[in-house]
Amino acid sequence: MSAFAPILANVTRHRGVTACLVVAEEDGIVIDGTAQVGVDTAAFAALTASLYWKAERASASAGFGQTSFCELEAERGRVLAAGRNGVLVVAVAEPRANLGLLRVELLKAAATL
Amino acid sequence: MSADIRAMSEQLAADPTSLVFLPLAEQLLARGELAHASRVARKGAERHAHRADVHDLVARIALAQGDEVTAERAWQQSLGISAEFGAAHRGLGFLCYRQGRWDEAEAHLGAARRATPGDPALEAAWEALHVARAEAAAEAEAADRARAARHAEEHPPLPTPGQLFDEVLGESGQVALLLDRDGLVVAGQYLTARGEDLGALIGAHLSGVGDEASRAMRHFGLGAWTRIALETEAASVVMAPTAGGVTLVAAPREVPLGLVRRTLEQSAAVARRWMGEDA
Repeated sequence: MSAFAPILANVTRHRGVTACLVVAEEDGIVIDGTAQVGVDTAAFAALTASLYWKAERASASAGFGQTSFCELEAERGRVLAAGRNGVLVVAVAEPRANLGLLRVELLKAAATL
Repeated sequence: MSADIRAMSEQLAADPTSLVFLPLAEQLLARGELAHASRVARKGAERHAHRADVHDLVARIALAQGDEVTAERAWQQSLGISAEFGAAHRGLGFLCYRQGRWDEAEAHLGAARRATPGDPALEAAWEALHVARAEAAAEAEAADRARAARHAEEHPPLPTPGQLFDEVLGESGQVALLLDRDGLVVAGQYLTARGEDLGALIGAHLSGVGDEASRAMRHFGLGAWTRIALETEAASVVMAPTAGGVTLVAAPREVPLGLVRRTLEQSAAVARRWMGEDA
C-alpha cells in the first residue's frame, strides 16, 4: 500500500468523486491515484497541474501570496486541487458532489503532504 | 303659446325682413323651446347676416342645445363683423373656459370685461379662470414630476465603468472586475488603501488562468468551464466567463466562500446586463 492510499481512500469515499490523483505539480506526472473506468487520469493530472501552476504564478504576481486550493467548475463536473510542497491532490467529481466536504477533505489531505 | 309670441310670430310672418325675430327667438330660448328658437334665429341670420347681435343669438341658442361647435362658429362670425363685440367675447370666454382653453378664455374674458366693466358674472368667471389655471398648472407640474420619476425608475442611469459593481459589493470588502478576452479591465476597480487601482495588474495576471482552464476543458470532456475558484494566502478569487471575457471577484480570506460565490454570480449578472447581453 502506498503512502498516499489513505488520502485516496478518504477522498474517493465521497459521493460523486470519479477520480483522485496525487500529482507532481511541476510536471503533472501521476504519483498515485484511483479512478473510475473511462477517466483519463494522465490528462487530468497534466492539465490540472498546469492550471494550478498557472493560478499559483498569477496569484503570486497579483500579490495574493501562495495558492492552496483551486476549483474548476464546468457544465458536467468539477476538478478540485489542493497542493503543498510541490505535490497536488486532485479530485474529479460529478456536479452532484458536495463541494464543501470535498474541499475540506482535499485541504486536510494536502496538509499531510 | 303666449300672446306675445303669437303676436311676434304673426308680425314676422307678415314682414319676414322685420327684426322682430330677435325678441321672438329670445323669448323662445327663455321658454326652452330651443328647436323653434333656433329655426327663427337662423332664418333671421340669413336675412341679417351683417348684424353681430344676430350671430350672438344663434350662438347662445346653439350652446343651449349643446352644440358648442356651432356656437363657437357663430360667435366668431359676430367678431368678424365687430371685433370688440362684448357679447361674443363673453360667450367665447365662457365656452373656452369650460373647455380648458385657458389662454383663449383669458383673451375673450378680458375683452368682454373691457366692453362691459363691472359685470359680476364676468368678474366671477375671471377669478375662477385664474384659480383653474393655477390648479391646472400645478396638476401638469405634478404629472411632469411623476412622469420624470417613472422614467428615472424605468431607465436608471448607467453606472460608470469604475462603479459598475459598487451596488453589489457594498461594504463587503470584496472587489470585482470585468475583464475582456485579453485581460484588460472593462469595468470595476481594485483600489488599495492608498487609492491605487491595481485592476489592470490583477486582470492581466489572472485572466490567463481562464485561458488555461479553457484549454484544459477541451480534454476533460466536462463541457465549458463555468467558474474557477482559487484560495491563496491573502485572498479568495473566483471568476466566471462573461460576455466574451471574465468577471472576477477577489475577497479577503475572512469573507465566507459562499458569499464570494454569490457576489460573483451577482457581479456577472450586472456585467451581462451592462454589456447588453440580457437586454
